[in-house]
Amino acid sequence: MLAKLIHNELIKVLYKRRTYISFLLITVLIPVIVYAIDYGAVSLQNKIYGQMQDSFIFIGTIINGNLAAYLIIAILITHMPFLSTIIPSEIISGEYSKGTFRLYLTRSITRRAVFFSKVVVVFIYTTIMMFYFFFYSLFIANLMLGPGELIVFHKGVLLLSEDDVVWRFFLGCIFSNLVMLTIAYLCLLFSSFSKNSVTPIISTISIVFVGTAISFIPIDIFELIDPYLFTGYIDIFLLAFYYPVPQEVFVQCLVVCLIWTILFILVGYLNFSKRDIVE
Amino acid sequence: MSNKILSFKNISKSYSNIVALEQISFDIPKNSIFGILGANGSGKSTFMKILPGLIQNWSGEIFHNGKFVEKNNIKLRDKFGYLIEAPTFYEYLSARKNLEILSRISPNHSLDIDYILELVNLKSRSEDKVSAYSYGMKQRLGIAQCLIHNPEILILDEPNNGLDPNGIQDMIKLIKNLRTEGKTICLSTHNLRDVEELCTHFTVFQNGKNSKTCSMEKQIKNSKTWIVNTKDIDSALEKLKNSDIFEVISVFNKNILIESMEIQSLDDIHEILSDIEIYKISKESNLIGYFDASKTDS
Repeated sequence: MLAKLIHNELIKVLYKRRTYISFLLITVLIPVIVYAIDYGAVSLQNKIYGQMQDSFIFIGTIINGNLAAYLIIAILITHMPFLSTIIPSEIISGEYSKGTFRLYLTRSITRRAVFFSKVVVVFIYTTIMMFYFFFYSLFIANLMLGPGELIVFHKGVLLLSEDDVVWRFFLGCIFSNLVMLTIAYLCLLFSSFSKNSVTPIISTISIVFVGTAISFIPIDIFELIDPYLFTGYIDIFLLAFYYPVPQEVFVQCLVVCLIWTILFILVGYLNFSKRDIVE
Repeated sequence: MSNKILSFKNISKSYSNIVALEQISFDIPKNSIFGILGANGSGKSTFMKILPGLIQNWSGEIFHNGKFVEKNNIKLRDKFGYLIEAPTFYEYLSARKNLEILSRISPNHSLDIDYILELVNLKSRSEDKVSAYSYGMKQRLGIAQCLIHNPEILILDEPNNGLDPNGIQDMIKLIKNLRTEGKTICLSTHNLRDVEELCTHFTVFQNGKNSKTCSMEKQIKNSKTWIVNTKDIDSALEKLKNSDIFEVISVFNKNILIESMEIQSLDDIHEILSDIEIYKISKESNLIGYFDASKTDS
């Protein structure tokens, strides 16, 4: 039955226009940014050279597809929480407000199965969106600017060879997706309480904003709690390009995100299973 | 074997300090069209949401074919088709897609979608998005979704609500046809005509309680209200006013609404109006009496 419910949820999501907003934005925005990077390559290179020209002599250019993709993802990753709330925000609240649960929940299906089919669909949507964001950026950037070695700053200058880049993007993508999934499930939790799809988005983004602020404000108490907040890992993608990769931080991110995710899903389920459908 | 397909015993439901339903008890006979009559806010819709599990915390007992029904009995839902309140659908999907979604989670003996669409006269518009449907079409689609798993009992909450006269007639015809197919129908309404025209049995909800449950046949038999449709209205009025048996309640068009002190037969009226040309004399169900009482109570 769960497979049939997932099938239904996928149809509901696929036929909604809002599903495609994030994909449309990513599709349009990335080539524009890559073009802008290409257009301003000389100026960008001078800025990067400017910091290193006393120590290094570069032959050729450091601006290439890998660097462009790295910069694009580093800049846009902090905005991805907003896109990851688009579907979960209304996957439950939308059915409350439109009254479609009166159709759906009167069938011989359990609320548990309905809720978990929605959990699965949120997983599918967020994961596809994040992989699309990462690898579309990489593909378009490489297509427009060509491949090359990636220069990043970590304990000085780190030059990563072409062969050493793709798996790092993949690692960054997996863990960024884990954080975005946690945010999406936080939004799903709010969706189970709300009667409209705006409140879950506002609530989720507010929490992400506060959490991110905690990560950036260098106060002892904040530094103490930051490792336990999923919001502290939104930019974990950057750590995939460190040498060596800080495995302990990735493990910590995995544990923290899983705990928060389980908590959000559990509370959301308990609320959903007990709620009267009076709308 | 009992004729009751569904029995409700002492159903109660409260929202914080508001009592929505209090000790509701009645039986629904097999293959009946059972009307739940009540004013707005009398608790009809809350009651309708209890059986399908849309409302969770309530007290009381429900029996299906004499067997106790556990709360949230999922399997039993296969036997019921629900249309709760206004018909709501995934408006961005076509009628067919909506039915496919519901069919997918219905038991294996689901009826053919084309057959259902034909039954509710929507086959020609089945590929249109539901957002393009009129209210009447949505209501018919609401009946279609009820029927998709071929249930034995249909629970319809205000099925004629918002329909124009043609829509109401279509709906009445459809509900009567469903009864002839052997289904039991339980519908809630605040419209007396719906109950008079459709229902074989009814109960009346007043302020969250049900005050009376009765068959329509018995109600009409016990009624003391008649409508006399006559050519010579003045003479008829004079004769009826002079009689000791009847009291004239109102006069409208060529009709006189009268009420007798005791239960009278048709012959009594014919005797009084023996020399007057009468088109029709009909006995009224007098359901309005319950309705007025419910308004007065609240």
